[in-house]
Amino acid sequence: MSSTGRVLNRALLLFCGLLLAASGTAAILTGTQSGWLGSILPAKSVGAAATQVKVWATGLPEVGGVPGAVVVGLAVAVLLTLFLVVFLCTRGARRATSVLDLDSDDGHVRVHPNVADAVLTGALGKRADVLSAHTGAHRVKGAPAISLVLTIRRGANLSRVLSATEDAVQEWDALAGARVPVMVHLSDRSWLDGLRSATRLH
Amino acid sequence: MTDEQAIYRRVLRRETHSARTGSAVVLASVLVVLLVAAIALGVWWVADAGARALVADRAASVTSFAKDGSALTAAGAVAIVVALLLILLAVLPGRLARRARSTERMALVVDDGVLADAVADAVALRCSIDSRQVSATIGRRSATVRVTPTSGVPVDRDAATDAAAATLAAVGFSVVPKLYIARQGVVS
Repeated sequence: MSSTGRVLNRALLLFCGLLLAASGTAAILTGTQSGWLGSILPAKSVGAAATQVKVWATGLPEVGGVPGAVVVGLAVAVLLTLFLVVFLCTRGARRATSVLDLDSDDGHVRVHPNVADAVLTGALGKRADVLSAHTGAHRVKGAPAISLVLTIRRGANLSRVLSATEDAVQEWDALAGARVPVMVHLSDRSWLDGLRSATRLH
Repeated sequence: MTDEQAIYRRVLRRETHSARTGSAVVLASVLVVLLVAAIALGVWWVADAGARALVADRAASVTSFAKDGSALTAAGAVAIVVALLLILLAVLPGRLARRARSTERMALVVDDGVLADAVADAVALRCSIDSRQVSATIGRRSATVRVTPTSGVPVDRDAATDAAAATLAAVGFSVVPKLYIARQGVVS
């Protein structure tokens, strides 16, 4: 669960995909010397466009003895690199530093995510039908929210696990004195969990 | 709709669809490497006048394959396959094998594998057979249960179907299960 924007992921994939598709098509058409390439892209107009680009590039003013086209190319490459580095740095879940912020006349109270983790996973993690339980704190639409991920042991009664989870959430509500949105995820076991014992020994 | 329910709607939508972060990060990383290499080459070209001829030679040798029609066509075909993959990743919804619902208090996401295991176990228990003789697959709109009976012991179809439906309903997902019983049983 995270609040990172996802549109940019798909926009980058789409943009690069279209660019690559256009390049690939051009390469195939050029490589096969297809007859209908000439009908789609008349040699005259292609040549004229290429000449215009060359004229524009050579017309750029030199910067410190370096051709303007090289400077523009380098600047564009640096800007694109910066954009991509920022893009990479902003991927992934941004964890919230608190799960509850309460303002009162006496002051401000912030509840650390570890408190929610202790309350919610304390009882659930000890259950025989739960392999593991962990929580995460996130901000969704500007408000704090808690994710509770439970990995269930094979053969567990799901309705009982859910009932126990609701009890744990109620306990958290009573302790916090406010409702924080909770997302419960009953997760599949990983291949590593398959190596664990079928029963828990206390 | 309360704010909480609006949050749940957003969370559940995000939890049941792929973010495409992995693909985008791999693509961006490859682009960063290529761009940094291009910038390094450009700076070398600018800083060292003697290197210009060398860079031009290397560039000419790299691009010389463009004169070979078959190599260019092969490169173009590879580019189109990769492009198609990227476009599909961008356009397809990327639904994950999970189902979700929200209650008055919390949002619930359950992996299809968890439901499938629960259904298989419930059917095995109801039919008094080993759980290895039952397999279940949870699809978007249907649940398929395949039972291999013990030789000579008939399987109660209705009971098995009820057990599967009850297990799904207990978690709040009403999917009509389809039951298939193998014609040949096994010795258990």
